[in-house]
Amino acid sequence: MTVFIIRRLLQSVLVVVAMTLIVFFGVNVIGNPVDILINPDCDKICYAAAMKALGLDLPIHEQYFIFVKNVLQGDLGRSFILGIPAIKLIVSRLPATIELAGMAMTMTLVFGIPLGLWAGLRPNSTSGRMIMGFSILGFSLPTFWVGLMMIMVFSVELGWLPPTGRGDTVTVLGLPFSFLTLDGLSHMILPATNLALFHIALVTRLTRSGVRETMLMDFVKFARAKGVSSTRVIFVHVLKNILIPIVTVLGLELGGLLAFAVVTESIFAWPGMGKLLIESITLLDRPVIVGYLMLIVFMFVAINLAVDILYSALDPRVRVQGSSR
Amino acid sequence: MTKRAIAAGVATAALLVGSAYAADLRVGMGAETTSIDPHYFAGFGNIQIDLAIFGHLVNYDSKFRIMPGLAESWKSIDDKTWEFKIRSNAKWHDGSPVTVDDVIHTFKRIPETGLKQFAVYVVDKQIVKIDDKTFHLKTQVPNPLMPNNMAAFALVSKKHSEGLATEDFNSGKAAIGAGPFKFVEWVKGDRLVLTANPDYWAGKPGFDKVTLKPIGSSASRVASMLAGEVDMIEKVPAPDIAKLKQNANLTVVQTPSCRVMMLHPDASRESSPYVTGLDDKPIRNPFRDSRVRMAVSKAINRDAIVSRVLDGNGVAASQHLAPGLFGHNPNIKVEAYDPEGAKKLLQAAGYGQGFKLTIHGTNDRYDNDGQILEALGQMLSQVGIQTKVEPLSLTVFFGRLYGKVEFSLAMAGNCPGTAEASSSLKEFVATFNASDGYGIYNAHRYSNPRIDAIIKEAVSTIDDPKREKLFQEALAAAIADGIPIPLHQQMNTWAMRKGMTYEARTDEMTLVQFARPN
Repeated sequence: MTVFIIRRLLQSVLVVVAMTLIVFFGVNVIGNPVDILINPDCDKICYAAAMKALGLDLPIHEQYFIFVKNVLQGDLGRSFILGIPAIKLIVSRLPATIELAGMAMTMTLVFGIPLGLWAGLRPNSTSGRMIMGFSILGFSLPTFWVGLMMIMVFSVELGWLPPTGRGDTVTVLGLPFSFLTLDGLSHMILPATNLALFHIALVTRLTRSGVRETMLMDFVKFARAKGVSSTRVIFVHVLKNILIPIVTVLGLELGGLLAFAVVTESIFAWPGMGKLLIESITLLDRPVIVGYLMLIVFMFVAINLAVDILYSALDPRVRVQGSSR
Repeated sequence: MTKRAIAAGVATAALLVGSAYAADLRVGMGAETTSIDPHYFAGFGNIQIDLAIFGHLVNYDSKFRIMPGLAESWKSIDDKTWEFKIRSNAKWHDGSPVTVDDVIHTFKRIPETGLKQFAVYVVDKQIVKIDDKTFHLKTQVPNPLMPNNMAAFALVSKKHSEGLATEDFNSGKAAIGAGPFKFVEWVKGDRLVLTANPDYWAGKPGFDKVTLKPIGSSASRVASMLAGEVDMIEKVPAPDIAKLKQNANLTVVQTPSCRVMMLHPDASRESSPYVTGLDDKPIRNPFRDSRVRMAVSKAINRDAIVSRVLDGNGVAASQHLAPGLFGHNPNIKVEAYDPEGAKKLLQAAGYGQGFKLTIHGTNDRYDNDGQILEALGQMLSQVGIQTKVEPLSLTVFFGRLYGKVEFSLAMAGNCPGTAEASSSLKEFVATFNASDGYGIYNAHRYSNPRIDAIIKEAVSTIDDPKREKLFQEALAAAIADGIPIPLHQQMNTWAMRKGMTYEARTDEMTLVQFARPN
């Protein structure tokens, strides 16, 4: 087990190094940030001063070595545009993203599993078919379009919910959270729903197929024959068995929710990490882009590792071996 | 009956709440503020804020003409010396007066701060203190643009910012300015809150409290306006303008922008990278011939671009300097749409059979830029230049256009930072010279010694009427030679709730101090 974890950690270090190389040189190939940021009245001297201020006057490989040296000392560099440490900037946006992802995840569980159960138990009923129909929409409609439509309907036409921003926040342990205030919560409903829609559809379908498969298993038939109440069959025997794959998928989806809320955050002007990433890409703010992606790689590696370890702990049939994936 | 009474009560309560909020303003901003430090980065979203909090020595009015700011007056004493007087009633937010020492401190701070982008306005100037409110600026060469240079950056207080870093501005500690608003709170990416400065030299601004919310996505910005989440938005996207104008709850204000779109033809290379003959074989660069450049100009139906692609939100341009700005030449006429004339010119230049061309531009920088590029491609194809269109992201485009000079014909826009002709000519038309800043945006690599001489003379002529004449002469010569090919002026558009007012500005700035609740 220990060997497995060490192996995985070493692999993830390699992934992170490869990622920094790709992003560092990739952003460099796209363009020079000074060309975009520069004051139009700037002459050659002023241009050179800006290049020097950002450390862009050195050859790219030297810039990379300086970057690596600083990373090893825990410094990801300073944002070109804001002048503050990139990691501090990213972390300052983290609470907003976490609470949005958390809310979306909660919605996914609260809506996805019951809907999937219903559709799985009554596959031929009208309600079951409707649930499956809507889940296809949830899958296939593009997030930005749904987001804009939700704003048009619920904010502009009906005026029920605010369209953009984060609303009032309450500071807990030094971090601002908006789900603790009524105003904050109302600002959160639309973006969280928008973010959750795809995942609700996914979980609904997973649950449904799991239920349909499990209902035909011998142990369910046996339980029924034994006279166990159908509530107990569904909520204890069936649900327990279908939850394993759902939990595995949800673990990975959580990573996706945190990392790629980019579209939702941009549309709803939600001040999280995704919006920061987009702004940084349009201004070629390399330290922030690199820092963000490094953080995301670490997060995915950590989640995968946790899932693998948990999986072997949960299911005794799975033995984690040094040679396995 | 009771229901009605309750409804009436609720309505009254809503009205009361409404009026209590009347002096608050929430603005949906398209450009985000990235720093409160006014000298860190010359981004658009930062300059509008530093004008609200700190104030500049010289300001621009809504027509983009200079007017007094923290300096109440200025004059040139001799060719190389300007005298500025600071307003007697100009005070920092703590009540202490704005003095020459603050100006000296600002001059010292700018070249040491951030991306050093404002250094270009101060490094070549020697500042001499005459008394607390008067100073002289001396230069090596005559500088007629001194007031415009002084309009480019914010003053900071020596007392409140000496030895402090950008972080201290962001936290509010050093954000003590002399502007119409005081800093209250900044949550990066979410909101910037300001409160009115009752002791502002030009009087208290119209709104007591202002909240600026960055909403980068233009569709979301419009939706927030429609939902009443904000009271005003800037940069209304062209496709939504007509809809907002019809909305009875909203007011839309517009003015033609200082930003003029233009085409840069590759006017110097022997062969141009994106031009080939009809047989795909390399040919001699056609854009070296001014007749071909003028043929392109005649082939463009500017009115169609403005009316169809921009829904009327633009003005056809005669030159790459907007009307109303110093140096604009009213005698230059908008090139009329004349496809037959264009064909004749191509024939005369020896390209009667046409050639193949790829044009480049952005698709995320200017109003409907991607569609305009498509339209241009079709118009050029109609006169025999078989044109392909390649829109790029601004992150890629500008480096390739002005840095590497890679294109054959490319579309870009410009609003002169100095609000007059010198940058339009010095940077876009004068012969490229890396060391002195001449021709840095001359993506045509055009070189005309006669025009260069006029520009050089103009930028060191202090006498305004004489200088304006020289600018107009140089502009006429360049435009007649097809350098650059002007297209249209963009339109600057704001939308706001009925009742409040804001005068549309040529310089695209959203300056909350000029918004009024009635």
